[in-house]
Amino acid sequence: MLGFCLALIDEPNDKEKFVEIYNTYKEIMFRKALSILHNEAVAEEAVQESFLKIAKNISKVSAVKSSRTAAFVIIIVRNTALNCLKSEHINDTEIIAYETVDVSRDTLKEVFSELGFNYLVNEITSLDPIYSDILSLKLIHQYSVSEICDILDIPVKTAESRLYRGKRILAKRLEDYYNENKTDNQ
Amino acid sequence: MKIRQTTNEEIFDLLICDALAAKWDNELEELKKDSGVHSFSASVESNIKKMTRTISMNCAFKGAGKTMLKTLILVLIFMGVLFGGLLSQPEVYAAVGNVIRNVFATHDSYTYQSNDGKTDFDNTKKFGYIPDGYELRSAFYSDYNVSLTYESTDERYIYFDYGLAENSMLSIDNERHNYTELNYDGTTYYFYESTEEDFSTLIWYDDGYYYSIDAQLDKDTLIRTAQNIG
Repeated sequence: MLGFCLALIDEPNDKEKFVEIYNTYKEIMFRKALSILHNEAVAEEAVQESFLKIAKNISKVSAVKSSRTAAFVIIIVRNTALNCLKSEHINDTEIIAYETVDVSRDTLKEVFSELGFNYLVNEITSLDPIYSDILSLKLIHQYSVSEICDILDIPVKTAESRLYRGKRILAKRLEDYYNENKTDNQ
Repeated sequence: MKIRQTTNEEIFDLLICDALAAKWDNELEELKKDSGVHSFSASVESNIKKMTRTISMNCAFKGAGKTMLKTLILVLIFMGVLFGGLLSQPEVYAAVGNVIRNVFATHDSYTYQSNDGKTDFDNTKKFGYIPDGYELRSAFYSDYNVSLTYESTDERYIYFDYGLAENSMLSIDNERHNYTELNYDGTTYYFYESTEEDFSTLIWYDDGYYYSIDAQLDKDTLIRTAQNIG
């Protein structure tokens, strides 16, 4: 029992992690912010604010040099940059009756093929980042909705709405793809 | 149908997860292709250093907290072991002649070490002095001890037990009794006076025998009864 209690309170050094994240990803983050904001000064501010958010969530970061952490920092800087633009993509306050996103088993089978999977990757790449980022935080990083809200600084309803809409958009596109392929093969 | 829908959504989530991972790999590759190094302004570098110092301070506080927590856990475990050990040990260890008295949290125990050479058991002992109003009601005899019960006219009882002492043990409640050690004519008596108007107990050892009287009597009457056993 003693070993269990002591193991619970051992953690790696957060300061070293933060410094390593800064040195590893600052360039990439700047370029991403610049691609959105097209202004070096504002892009620097966005990067700085992003590192503030990363500092607040530093304990949630595991391996620094991993695709998962790279995706995490990009999501933060992208959302910070978009917030700087103050652009609204959708009416996030719309209340949605959440249901299970229904995808047929035949459609899923189609996605299991190489062509189908590549199509899904392309659709996710072209998906509005406000959906793909939140899907990444939820499905890859396994954050809860409340944790996502803290990271992206958005309300809970907005986060839930974007999660649902993102999956629904993808499901709709995949169903259309499946129906097209089924028609072509007939 | 609902179960199938849920399973489908879970499969869909897994596929999206894989597709997202592939998308990120592609996006990061594209970002790394961009050439050039940006020199951040002095204010950004300064603010980053401040953030690093804040994290460092938080780490130090956390570290101090962890050390204190570890120390506290160790102290609590040590105290628990010590306390547990104390609970299992007699609070006081006393030995008078052949009688070993151990005191625990809820009771005292008396252990007798020898019969002082006695081998034959005399089962004829009884009260030489019986308090007024009491009569012998029942008697129980075994090879090594005797239990006599005296009853009064108003339904009060005296329980008198005695036997060969060696390897015998008695336990007396010490939570609801006040303990006093008494000495009369070279004999040590252990008196437990009830604090709740219940039975008081008198225990003593004499010439190879243990004796015990439980009764709703005062100390002097108990002592007088004990000194007149024959």
